[in-house]
Amino acid sequence: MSKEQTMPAETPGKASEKSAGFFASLYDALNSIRLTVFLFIILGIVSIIGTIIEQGATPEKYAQIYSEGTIRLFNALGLFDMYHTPWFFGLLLLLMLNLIVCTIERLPRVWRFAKTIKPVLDEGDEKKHPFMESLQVMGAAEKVEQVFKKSARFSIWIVLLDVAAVALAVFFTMIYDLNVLEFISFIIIPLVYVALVNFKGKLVRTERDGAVHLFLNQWLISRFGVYITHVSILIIFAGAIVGNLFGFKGYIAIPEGRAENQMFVRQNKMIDTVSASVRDLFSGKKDAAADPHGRQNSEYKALPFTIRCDDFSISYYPDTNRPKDYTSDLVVLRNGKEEMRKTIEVNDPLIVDNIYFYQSNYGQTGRPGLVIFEVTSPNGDTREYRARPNGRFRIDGTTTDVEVVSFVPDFTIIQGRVAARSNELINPAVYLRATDGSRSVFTGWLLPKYPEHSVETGPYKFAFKDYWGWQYTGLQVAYDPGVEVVWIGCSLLVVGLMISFFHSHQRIWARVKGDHVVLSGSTHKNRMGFEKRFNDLVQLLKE
Amino acid sequence: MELFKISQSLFNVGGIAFVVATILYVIYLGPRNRAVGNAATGATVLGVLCLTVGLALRWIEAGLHHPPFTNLYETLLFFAWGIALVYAVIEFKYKIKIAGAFVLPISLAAMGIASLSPNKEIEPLVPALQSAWLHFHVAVSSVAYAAFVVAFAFSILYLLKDRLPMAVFGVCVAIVGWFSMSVTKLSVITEGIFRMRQMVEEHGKVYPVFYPGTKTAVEIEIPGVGSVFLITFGLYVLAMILYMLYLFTKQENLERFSLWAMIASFVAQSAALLLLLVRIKAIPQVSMQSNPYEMTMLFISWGTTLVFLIVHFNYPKFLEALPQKKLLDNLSYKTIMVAFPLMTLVIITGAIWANYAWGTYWSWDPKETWSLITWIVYALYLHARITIGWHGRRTAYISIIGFAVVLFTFLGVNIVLSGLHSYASG
Repeated sequence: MSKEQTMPAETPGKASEKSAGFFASLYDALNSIRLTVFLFIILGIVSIIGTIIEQGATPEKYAQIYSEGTIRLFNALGLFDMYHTPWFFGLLLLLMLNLIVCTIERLPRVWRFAKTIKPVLDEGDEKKHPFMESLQVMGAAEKVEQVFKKSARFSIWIVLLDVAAVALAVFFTMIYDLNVLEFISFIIIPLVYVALVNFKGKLVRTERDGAVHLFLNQWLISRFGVYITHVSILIIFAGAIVGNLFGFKGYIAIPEGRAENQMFVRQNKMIDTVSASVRDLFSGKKDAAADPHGRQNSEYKALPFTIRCDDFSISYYPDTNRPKDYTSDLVVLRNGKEEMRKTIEVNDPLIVDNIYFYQSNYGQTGRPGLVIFEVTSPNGDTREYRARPNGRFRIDGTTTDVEVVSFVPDFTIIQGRVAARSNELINPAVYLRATDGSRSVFTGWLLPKYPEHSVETGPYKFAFKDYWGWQYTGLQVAYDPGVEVVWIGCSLLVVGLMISFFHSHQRIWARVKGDHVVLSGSTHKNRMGFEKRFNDLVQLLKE
Repeated sequence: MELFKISQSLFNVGGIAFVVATILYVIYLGPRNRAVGNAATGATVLGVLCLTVGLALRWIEAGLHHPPFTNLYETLLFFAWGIALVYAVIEFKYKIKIAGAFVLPISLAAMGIASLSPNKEIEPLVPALQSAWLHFHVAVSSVAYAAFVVAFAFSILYLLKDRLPMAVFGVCVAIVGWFSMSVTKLSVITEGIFRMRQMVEEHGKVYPVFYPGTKTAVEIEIPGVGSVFLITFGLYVLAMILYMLYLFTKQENLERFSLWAMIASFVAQSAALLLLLVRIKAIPQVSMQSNPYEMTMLFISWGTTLVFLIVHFNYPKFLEALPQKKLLDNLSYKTIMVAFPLMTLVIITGAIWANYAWGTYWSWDPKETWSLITWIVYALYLHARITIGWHGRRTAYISIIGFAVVLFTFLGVNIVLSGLHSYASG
């Protein structure tokens, strides 16, 4: 029961028979499934440790939790940044080598096995297969062929499953405005899968020694699913390595109205050292990454273009303080010229030269911003004005001066005093004083959210537009040339797993001599399911 | 708003259906009455239908871009739905009603935690959660986790059928018993005092009270409950020690004593829970929502002990009722074979979302790491089974370890470890 494979028996220690040298035994070790199990256990335990000890926290935080000796020990072992230590990388590498060697050893065997599958059932062959049935059928050859064809028909469940998968993909695409690439991956994976598993193999009919042999060879691909899976894991790993060696991750904070091209680069010592040496190797010279300002090994890196933030804003769900979206209006400048602009939001980054800029966070610069108004005059003329808190502006064509006495981003009254509840523009309020010469026109709070409580502004209509230039937008910067490789690996991985686990290589033979039929069958997985299929087939023949 | 109310009452009906189904399945363990079994199946199907319609209505109410699995409350409901659905399909296909008593309680527990959740309203999505990939990710994860849970139940049944001594189960149940108390209410063991978080009501919602300027919740003592729980704790430890001694010495007297200790723990825990419920009703500052996880843990350990005792007293009959060992082993294996590709899809869709939201597809945050650990455990299971040829007990143990890891990935990480996923704990 445990081994349902009808594969030729494994011959362990093949390499060691040739030579018992160091490399041979190393190869043997890498070829062992026990190493895989061991590595799985070790990786599992180590990963658990990594989630219990907080990774990459500040030294102060560690000092609160652990004693000095413990910190020194953990630091020496790299447990504070465990997933980036050479030994963790070594474990992963060992797993990959194990996987490569196992695949090299086993794939050709499966290939050879696939090549030697006989389409005929010679006398006595049926005893080699786990399922056998011998029976008398009238008009056997035609009946068997007909029953076999019926058995090989598309399974309605698989068709329904596929339709469901494609429908789901279309549904997601319709309601979420997926981009083309996403749509393709959503559609392609089920389609590739459909194409692969519905390839059911054809019915082979052979006449030999006065007997008719019929052979149904289905889902042979299932035997290869495991290798598709393994190769895809290697692809993912390769993509991750490429990304770590040649990509970078950084952070850039741009105040509204400012432009920036220096980004703060996240340090990763082990990978930095390796990637620097690899870059040297490729470029043939040292310090290829040194920046023009001579800030070698500095934490800042210059981008090949400049990014300006025109505006950062938060939108809220109606009548709540729950943020709906964070958006930044970004402009890309190269050599002083505007190249492109995009309003980015969470989950929708800006992409320039394959460098991704993600909306990450925001904050206040500490500098006062500009209050921007739209003022409509009695004659219907609307104009935009801007002033700093404590600043003033004159309404065009009049002698009316408006002074912005005070600005509060989130207006509230605590114990009879005006106060800011938060630093967000949730309930902005401006205290205005308008004078015409020495005559006071109006004075009081303008509350854009609550016009009914706002001061009467005489003949003018004030619309508060924004408080601008006081916040910065924080952008996560990522350049990862390996990411597409990772996605290709992921798609293959899913397909490989589905092929190997949802299906099994099933073979059914029939040898028909006159009215005497000998049926034989074999499956490499899902014995229960195959048993049912085989018995159904026998029943059909008996009818 | 009408749809929301209808869906809410459908969840309630579904919850009651699961309670009924669980009770019926547990009764079915004993005298295996056909009508009882059919009624249990009926209740399960009713529960699944209620949850299906309820979740669909909630989705319609929230809008298409806001599927009903974006906060912990919804995710738990979805998880409960997934478990019951996967189980119902397998029951229908293989006609094995006996597993219901082991699967449905887990579904019920998920419903239980959900019902204790203080936030049941449809909340607007924070920007990071507005992503198709994330929604796909959560939907698939519920189904994958549910399948792993069902595989776990079959592994337990396999071990029972394989005549793994009841004493071994006894040790495990006793550990679950005292563990649930020591992780949730350490003060019970150290001081003999049971405390619960004080809650206030504001705008129809209840919130815990914190000491000003801190993140420490104000807790008040529930009089009398602590000492009863302390006795329960002691009895569980005693039962565990006695069962272990029995396993080493094989003295039959010891087995009897340990069974008595287990019955005593069950009685004590029932008394403690009853007293707790009475006190919660009497004290206005606390409610069932004060400590939802801890309450659930206590009820889970109580339910586990109950199932253990029922199986223990019906052991020969129960064994007879179980399907063949081979079938149980195979069902567990098959379920994992379906769940594993789904789990892979869960990790991948999570990575795609993370790449959109944070600019990196993998950042080793605790939730990610634990989902990888889950994946590794089941990869180990599959390699051990397919390549090495392990089966039976050894693979059943891996499946049980896998279940523990799944539970921790799903809930434990949010409660115990902090990380980027912390918004989901609200």
